[in-house]
Amino acid sequence: MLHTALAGGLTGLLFGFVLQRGRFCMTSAFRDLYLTRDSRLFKAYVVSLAVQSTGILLLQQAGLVQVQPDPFQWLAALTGGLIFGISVILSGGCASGTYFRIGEGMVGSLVAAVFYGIGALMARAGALAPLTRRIQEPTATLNGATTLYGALGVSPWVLAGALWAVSLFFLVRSRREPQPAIPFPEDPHRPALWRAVFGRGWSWPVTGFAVGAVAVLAWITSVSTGRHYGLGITTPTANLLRFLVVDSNPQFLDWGVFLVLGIPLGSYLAARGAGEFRLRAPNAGRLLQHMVGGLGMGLGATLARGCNVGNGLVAVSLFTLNGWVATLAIILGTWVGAYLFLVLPMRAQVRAAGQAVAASGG
Amino acid sequence: MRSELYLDLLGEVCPYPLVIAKQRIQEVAPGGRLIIDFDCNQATESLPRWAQSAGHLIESFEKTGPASWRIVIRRQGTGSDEVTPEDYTCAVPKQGG
Repeated sequence: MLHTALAGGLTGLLFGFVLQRGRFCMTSAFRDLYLTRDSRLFKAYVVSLAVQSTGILLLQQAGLVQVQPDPFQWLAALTGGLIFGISVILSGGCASGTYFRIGEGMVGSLVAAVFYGIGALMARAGALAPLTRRIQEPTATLNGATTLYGALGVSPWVLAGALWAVSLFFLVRSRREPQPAIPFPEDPHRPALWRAVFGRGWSWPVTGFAVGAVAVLAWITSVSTGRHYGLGITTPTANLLRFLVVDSNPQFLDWGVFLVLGIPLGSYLAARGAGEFRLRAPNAGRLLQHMVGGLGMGLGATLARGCNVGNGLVAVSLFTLNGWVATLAIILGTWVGAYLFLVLPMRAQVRAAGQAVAASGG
Repeated sequence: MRSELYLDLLGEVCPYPLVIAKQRIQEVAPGGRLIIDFDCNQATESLPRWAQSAGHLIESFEKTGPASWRIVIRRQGTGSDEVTPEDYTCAVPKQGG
């Protein structure tokens, strides 16, 4: 148990630290492709995939990791991904984003995380479990395979190489783009190394490599406890809640539970170091949004067999069809959610303000 | 139109600080000040980036405490009245080119 706690907890600590300093918000990464055409966080995401997929392939080749490809539950991957994507807009952060914001002192994210666990447990073992099983029933294969490389009939190394090619394209292009100097209040008395870590948020290439490295490390520490998978948030969150509330069987306290406990701790250390920690809460309306969003995230992620981490980071790096379809559905979901809950309300406000000005003769 | 507008955006999370700032700067007369207190980490990037790309002047940008910042923006740019989809991000409006 101590080994599991340390292996999972320290990995989570590191993950939380990197997430906080890199401001690695996958909700923003996906949403802003559509809303602002800003792709910096998405580029960090692609780099992290290249690093992780290569790491996994090397670990597999060395015989250190065995991976069973997920079945391709196409209906559940699609609907679950969409529900998850829409919900993260309401909850104010994806699974990893919610956990690292807890460590910044954001009480709203803590509320979202609790409801995330409730939603996941409902869909996995509670009132919604029969529905989950029914939606997960339809499975499919593509050319007899459940992986992308199997379906294409190529080596997984080809796909990892493709991720590297895209990453390098991003890196080279960003070198050519002029970087405008954006002011940031920094303490000039701090040593340069301190400012590099705790100064302004990390650049996207650094963040991408760091997230990928932690994801590979996660495989190693997780396998050392007998759990043959990488990072994951949804199942551990449900397990933690189940252990605390329903059934104190220590089998639920696996590597993943300590991982999710470590993330807020790591981001707390990062935020404290950078002076970015303070307890704060949003207003009641937004808090209610976070609750609904958290529930939807738990439900969606359980259906799709993973959140933006289990699917978006890990399953995509394993090139499973389930992971790719679920992640594309999550991305689409964030666009739908941004339109419904950000663009439309703001348009209405602007219209109302315009009418008020017109009425006052302004 | 006023010469100075103060916005307390403490507690507002991404992407709202940027959305609100872009909307409310319309109430500030050209050359006037928009003073914003905020605590969203991501806005430490998005607010100054927006101000610069819109042609406004960043008069000061300082940390006022743990997870609290104050930025003072002088309205210079003409800035369109239109709120575009670009306003809904906690990340950054794309730089020209």
